Order: sequence, then C-alpha cells, then structure tokens
Amino acid sequence: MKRKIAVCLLALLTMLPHPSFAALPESREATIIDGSNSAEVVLEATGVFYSKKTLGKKGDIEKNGVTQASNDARKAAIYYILYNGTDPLLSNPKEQEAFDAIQADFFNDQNIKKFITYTDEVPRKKVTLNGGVGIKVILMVKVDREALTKALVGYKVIASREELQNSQGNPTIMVIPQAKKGESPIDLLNSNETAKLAGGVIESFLTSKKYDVILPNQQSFLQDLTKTQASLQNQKEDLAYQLALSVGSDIYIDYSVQYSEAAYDTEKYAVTVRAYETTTARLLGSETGHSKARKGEKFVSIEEAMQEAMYNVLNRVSNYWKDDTVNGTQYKVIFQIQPGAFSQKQTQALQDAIADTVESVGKKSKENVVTNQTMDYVIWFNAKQANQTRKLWAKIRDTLGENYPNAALSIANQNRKLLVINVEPAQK
Amino acid sequence: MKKTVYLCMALMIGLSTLLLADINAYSRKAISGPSEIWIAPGAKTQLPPEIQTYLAETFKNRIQLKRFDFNQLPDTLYTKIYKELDTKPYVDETEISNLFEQYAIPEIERILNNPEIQKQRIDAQKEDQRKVTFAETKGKSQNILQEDLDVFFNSSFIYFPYISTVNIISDTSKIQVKVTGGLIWYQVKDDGHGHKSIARIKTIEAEGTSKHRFEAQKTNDPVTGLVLDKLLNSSSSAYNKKDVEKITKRVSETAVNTWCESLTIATKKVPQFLLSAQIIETKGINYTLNMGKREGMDLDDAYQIMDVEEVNGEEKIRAIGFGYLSHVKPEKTSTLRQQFGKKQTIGAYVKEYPRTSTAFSLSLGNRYDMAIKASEFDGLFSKDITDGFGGSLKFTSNLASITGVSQLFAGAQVDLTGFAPKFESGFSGNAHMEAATIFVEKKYWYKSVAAVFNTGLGIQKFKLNGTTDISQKYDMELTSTHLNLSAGVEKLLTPDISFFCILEKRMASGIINSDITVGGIDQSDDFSFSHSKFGGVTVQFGINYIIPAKFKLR
Repeated sequence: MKRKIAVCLLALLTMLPHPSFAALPESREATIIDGSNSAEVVLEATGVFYSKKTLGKKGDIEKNGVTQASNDARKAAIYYILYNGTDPLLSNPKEQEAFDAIQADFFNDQNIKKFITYTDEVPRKKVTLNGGVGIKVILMVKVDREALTKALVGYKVIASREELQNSQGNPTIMVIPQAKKGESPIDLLNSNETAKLAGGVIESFLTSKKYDVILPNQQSFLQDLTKTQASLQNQKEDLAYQLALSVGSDIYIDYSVQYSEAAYDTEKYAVTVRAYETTTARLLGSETGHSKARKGEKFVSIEEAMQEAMYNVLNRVSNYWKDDTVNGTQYKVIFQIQPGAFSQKQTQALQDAIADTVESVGKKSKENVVTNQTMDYVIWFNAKQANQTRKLWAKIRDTLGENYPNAALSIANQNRKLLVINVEPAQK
Repeated sequence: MKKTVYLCMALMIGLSTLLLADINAYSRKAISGPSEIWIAPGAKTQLPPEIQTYLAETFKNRIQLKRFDFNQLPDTLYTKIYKELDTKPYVDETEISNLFEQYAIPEIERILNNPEIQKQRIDAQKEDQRKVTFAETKGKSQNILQEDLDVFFNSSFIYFPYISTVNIISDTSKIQVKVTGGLIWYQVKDDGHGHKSIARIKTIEAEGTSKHRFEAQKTNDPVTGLVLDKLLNSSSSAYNKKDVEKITKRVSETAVNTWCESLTIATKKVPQFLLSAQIIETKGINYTLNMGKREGMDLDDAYQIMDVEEVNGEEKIRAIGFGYLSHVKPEKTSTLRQQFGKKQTIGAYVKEYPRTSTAFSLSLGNRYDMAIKASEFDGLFSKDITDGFGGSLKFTSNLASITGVSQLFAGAQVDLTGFAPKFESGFSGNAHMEAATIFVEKKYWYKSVAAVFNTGLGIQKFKLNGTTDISQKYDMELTSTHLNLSAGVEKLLTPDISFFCILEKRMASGIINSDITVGGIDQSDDFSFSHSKFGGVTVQFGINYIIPAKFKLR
C-alpha cells in the first residue's frame, strides 16, 4: 500500500510542469540593431510558440499564438543580452551559475516586461510552423540594460558598480582622440569638430555610468605632460599613455573616426574605441562601431557608431576593473638612481633592497624595466590601507629606509597613478 | 462538401499565387509616361482624331492609379522616341528600352535627384514608423538612409502604351470597333554607384472590342445598348447619318474603355504594383489593414490573405484566405471582411486580387402565381396560364467606388419565360415572355454567404403566336411594365464564382401596348386584359461569374 502511494506521488511529481524549462525562451534568436542610448538597446528578436495542448492545437495557435510568440521574443531579447554576443551581461561562469538559481522566476512573462521599453505592436513577420501547430514572429524590442543590470545586482548575481566603487574608489578614465605622429591630441580635440563631438559622446556615456572622466582639452594638461615625459625617459613614446599617466587616470580611452562613401552619395562612419590600462598601456578592449549610411547628419552618424562601440568596450573595462581591483589599486613606481652616486656593488645591494621593498609593500607587483639607473614597477597597493599615492610613498620610504639606510629617497613626480622616486646616497 | 469547396477555392487561388516573392507592405512607386499614346502608322488612319484624344485622356486617367506618384516627362522626349518608332514596322520592346535609356534616363535622374521629391517620398514611406532607434529618438534625424534611397531610386517606372491595330467595321447590320495594343512597363534601376539602366519588367497585350447590331437591336455593351435598344425598340431604319456617327463614336469609346480597363487590371497584377498590407487589428472576421484610400485601396476591392509557412527550413508563401474591403478610410487604414479561410491574427499579410467590377450571371427557374386569363384570350386556350419556366441573363456592375456603399450593384437583366398553355382543340401556338429590367442590388455577406436584395424596373412582352382552328395565323404581343422585388442567398464558391438562389416577386402593370393580329387583321382594340396578371413569383437558381479582363501578361 505504502509502495503504491509512493509510486503515485512520484508519477504526480513527474507530471508537474518543469518551470525552469518552460520559462526559458523557445527561440533564443536575437540581433542587436542599435544602441539606442547608453541605457537601452534595440534588438530584432524572434519568438516561437508551439501549442502544448493535446487537442485543438491549431485553435490554440489562432487564439494565443501571436501573444505567446511575442512573449517568447521578449524573452529571447533578454536572453541574448544575458548570455550572447561579444559582451554578455553574465560574463563568467560564476555569474551564470548564480543566475541559474533564479532563472525560472526571472524569465516569468510579467518579470521580463519590466525590462522592455518598446515592442512592436504588430510583428514584422509571422511564419506558420509545422502545419499550423506552431508560430514564429519577428519583432523589434527595446531593452533597458541598466534596469536589467540593477535587477541582477539585486539578485546578487553580479556585483554592483557602486560596491566596486566604494571599495576601490571611482575609476577615472581619460578620453583622447587618436593622433598621428607629431600631432598633438589636445590640439586635435580643440580644433577638430568631429573629434570634439566624439569625445563628448564618450564623456556623456561614461558619466551616465558614474565614471570620472577627464577630457584633456586644456593647455594646463600639457604642463603636466612635459613633467611626466621628463620622468619617463626611455619609456615608450606613446603620447596618450604619457598623458594618461600625467593626469593620473586608471584607464585611458582613445578613439578615431573615419568615414567612407557609400551608395547614393551617402556617408557611413566607423568609430574605433580602444581602452588601455594606464600603468602598463595594456590594451583592455577595442571595438569598432558602424553607423548606417545616410545623407548628411554626420554628427548623428558619429554618435550612432559610438553608441555601438562604447557599450562593448565599457563592458570589458568593467570586467577588467572587477578582476584587477581584487588586488588593490595599481600604481606605476619608477626608482631613478642617481648616476655615478653608487658603486657597482652598492648599486646591486640597493636594487635588491628596492625589490624587497616593493614586494613587501604591495599586495602584488610586477617588474617592468630594470637598468643601472632605473627600476620600473607596477605595484598593487591595498586600497583599504591607502587611497592616496602619498601613503604608498610613505610606506616605500620607511621600508627602504630599513632595508638600505644608506639611500635617501625624494619624490621627483607624483600623481594618482605615478610615483617617480629619486634615489641618492644618504647624507651623513 | 466544405472540404471540396475549400479545395476548389484553394486550387483556383493557389495556382496563381505559388511561391511569390517576399511579402512586404506595398511601397509607393513613381511612374512616368507620355501624354499621347503611340499609334502604329497603319492604325492611326483608322481612328478619328477625337477618338485619339479620348484614348489618350482615358488611358492617362486610368493608369494614374492612386498607388502611384506620377512624374510627367516632357513631351519633347516622347516626340523623339515616337519619331524613331514610326520608322519601325512593329513595336520592338528592346528598341524602346534602348530609346528610353538614351532619352529618358537623364530626365528621370533630374527628377529623382530633386531633394524635395526625395524627402517627400521617403517621409511618406516612413510616416507611420514608430521612433525606436537612436537616430530616430535622440538624434531627431531626418533619416534619409542608404536603404531608403535604394528603394527610392529603384522604384521608378516608365510605361509605354501603344496601339498596334484598329479595325472598324461599319455596315447596314452592325458597327464594330476592335482596338489592339498594349503597355510595356520598364523599371529604372540604379545601383547607387552611378550605374543606371532600364529593364523591361512586363508587357501587357490587350484588345478592346465593342459592337452595335442594328437588326437584332442587340449590342454587347451591356448596360446601355441592350436595355435601351430594347426599350426604344429601335431598328436600323430609325438611324440617320448623324445617329450612325453618334453610335460609331459610342462604340469606339466603349472599345477604348474596355482596352484601358484591361490594361489597368493587368497593371495592378504586375508584382511590383500589387498592393499588399498587414493586418494590424482583428475583430472576428473583420481585419484592420495598415493601408487606405491614399495608397489606392478602394471599397470592395478583393484581397487574398497570405500565409508564410516554414517547411523543411524554407519559407513558402501561399494564399490561404480571401476577402473584400468593406471600409476604406482616407487615412492609412481599411477593413477587410474575410469570406474564405480560417480566422487570422495580427501580423498576417493581404495581397491585392485585381479583377473587373462586372459580373455575369445565368439562372434558371420556375415562375408561379401568374394569372393569364384564358377568358381574355377569346377561347385560345382552355385554362389560365399560371406558371412557366425560364432563365435569366444578368450583367451587374459594382457601384462601390462611385457611391461609397459597399456591395452595391447595378445592372441589367433579360429573361425569357416559356409557357405551355392548354390550347383549345384546333388551336396551336407558342407562348413566352421576354423581359428586360434594370436593377439595383445590395448584398450582405457573412463569410462566404450573402443575403441579396434586389429591386428593378423594366418592360416585358408577353408573346403568343400560332394558328387558329381555321388555319389563320395570329400574333399577340402584349407589353407591360413591371417592378421586381427579390431576395435571396448567394454562396461564394471561389473568389470569382458564386451560386445563388433568388425569390423574385414581379408586379406587373396593366397592358400598356397590345399588338394583336389575326389573319393579318389588326384586332388590338377587340381585346381587353384587365383581369390578367402578368407578374408572378419566380424561384431561380444560378451561377454568378466575375468577368475576367482579357489580356496577356508576359
């Protein structure tokens, strides 16, 4: 008897609908059409609905087909943003696993509608499937990515930007146009309308995401640059890199705008955006956005292309920030040993002491260049302990003072990201 | 039975619509054409100048459908083309295409490059698009995109109408005019990189014929000739030279009208010009479409409902339903009332089904409730004539586009009823009734079934002739007027064929004219028919068929 009851219960359980499978979109096909603005994206999504009734399938399709398939299309659009494309919102297995736990509730029809700001009233295309027991529709859907991100943060699937910002400080991003050799990007920014507009679009995009943005369009930046260049002798000649270091941004973005002529005397714009880690000039992400070919309205085309590129690049910047700041904030530290002040033996001992100091001061460090006169490091310094370069300097000064008392340290150049330290013999 | 009907319907519709090109809502096309029609030198001499003028005006009015934007090319351009063609023995499509490339392209380019025209047409195309993308919203863009210009520059068409032969027969028995010619459609193609060309897309060949017979007073001009000749009881001797000229003009104009109508229907069937619209709202079997009068939709126009079906990964388009436009608004909406097919949902497309607005029907039936009193026929037959059997031939024309009332028809009907009177011993003869009626008819459809109401006025003639018991010939012709009231049911079998059953009540007046001869002596005054009833009730079953336009499309 008990066995019979158990079997019946088991059978009943297996007959119950499986919400996780039912909730996920049937179709999962979508294509991004347009980055409508920094918060929203327009997609063309396909929705599919097969009647699950045993009898009266065709009637069910007639009555409910378009509505159900449209719901599926909305889900497909959300699914695409979460999982697909070059920069999905769930960017690593941990986040995807966290989302799996809430997937069924999340893909509920009513919940999905919270993130949809526009759906076509009438499908652009309607296709009958399998002799009328299924239907496929294609719709334009606009999704609020910001709201989607906030919802995932609320579910603790992804970390919030605010959390990262609170623990690590706001990332600062410098934006600069790509300049030809010998050309000043600052001059380009001031004189070229296209560069100005493109810079302004990036600025607007970043500030809407609460990043601190520096657009180096003032001549005062040149003074800082000159000082930094003096410190960065024998370093790579990339002006953007030098400028980023001089202003102390965590990341710098450079961009270029090109146009090509298309059919019927229309013009099409392509914008390339590249994001770099300031301390090392390492490329974090690069994306090219394209506008539609249109007549005139150059600025609309540039902004249209920029919207497309910026979202993907910023996603990569955000992912880099999430991963990198686990170790703290990066600093570029250059030790400049006074030439001829130390003997060869003394120099070796000094360099060993500097290396030990760097290892003990930072959570993580990386040696870039070591010569007789220069030692170039990237140090990750725990932000909780120090949110100013000064504290790093104090730590280095004290620790090296203990490791090698015969050396005297002084600051040659200091800003948010760069510390250039002169090393001389200590005066007795 | 239902399955068989649907199968027949599907066969009739489907055969002409398999594997159509991609379905999209119709986008406006620009057409350019001449103000005069090229007439082959041999035919030109046949057509009087006033008919040539009538031809050009009628054609221009017909071809400038609301679905087109019309660009007038300068007449001088066509003069050059016509001059070259006049030297040719026949119409050569390739030659015409080359001539258009040579003379017309620069002019069309000038028109299309006009920024105002570009903006106007592209704006009209995008009028109802909701603003979704960045450029449309924040960008506040006028949005003239490459894809819009691609549509714009490749939606210009040139037409070349021509008359190749005109045959006029005018003798004592008849006047007949036959006009043969056609219409060639060319598309101006632009690849966007400075390469323009002209490609022929369709050639339509059609003829228009009209005839007036003097002797039998019958014409094949259904509304005016048949009924009016009957009413006027005209004979050839009644026509003087002026009348003959008038009739020749009327016949020529009718032939021209028929030719123009055939070309217009054929033009609507050119795939690039077929109207198509999307269903944006459904209310039972009434569907709101996203197109209206401005795009060229007219009341009672017929449309097929299309379905895109995915079969083995391939998309196929087929017609799965049919209906007519029951409401057409000046703005961009109209209502399609479905007659065939399953109920549709929003997102489905409809495609125009061009056809004439004229139908022909043939019916047979019994007439009852007559009372042709034997007593008033001087013992010719022993029993009253109370019933007969006959048939009707009817031509109807849809008045929706003129009156703005859907499913309102007018037409003319002729019927013939035969009787079998019981003649007295020694008497023999034939009795029948001929009638001609003009009528107005209204139909109310629910799916493929309609309630039909008809009212008409006409003239009928009861004819009785034979021989008496003393071998004298007698002829009786009794004329009366009548009022018909009828109601019935019509069942659509295919988009163009329907079956109907009508109950008709005919109320006849007294005899207004009698023509009775017995043995060659007029005895009209000796008879009175005050007690006879020449009306009656008819039950008829028949077939209604929409007359197809005659043309060749290649």
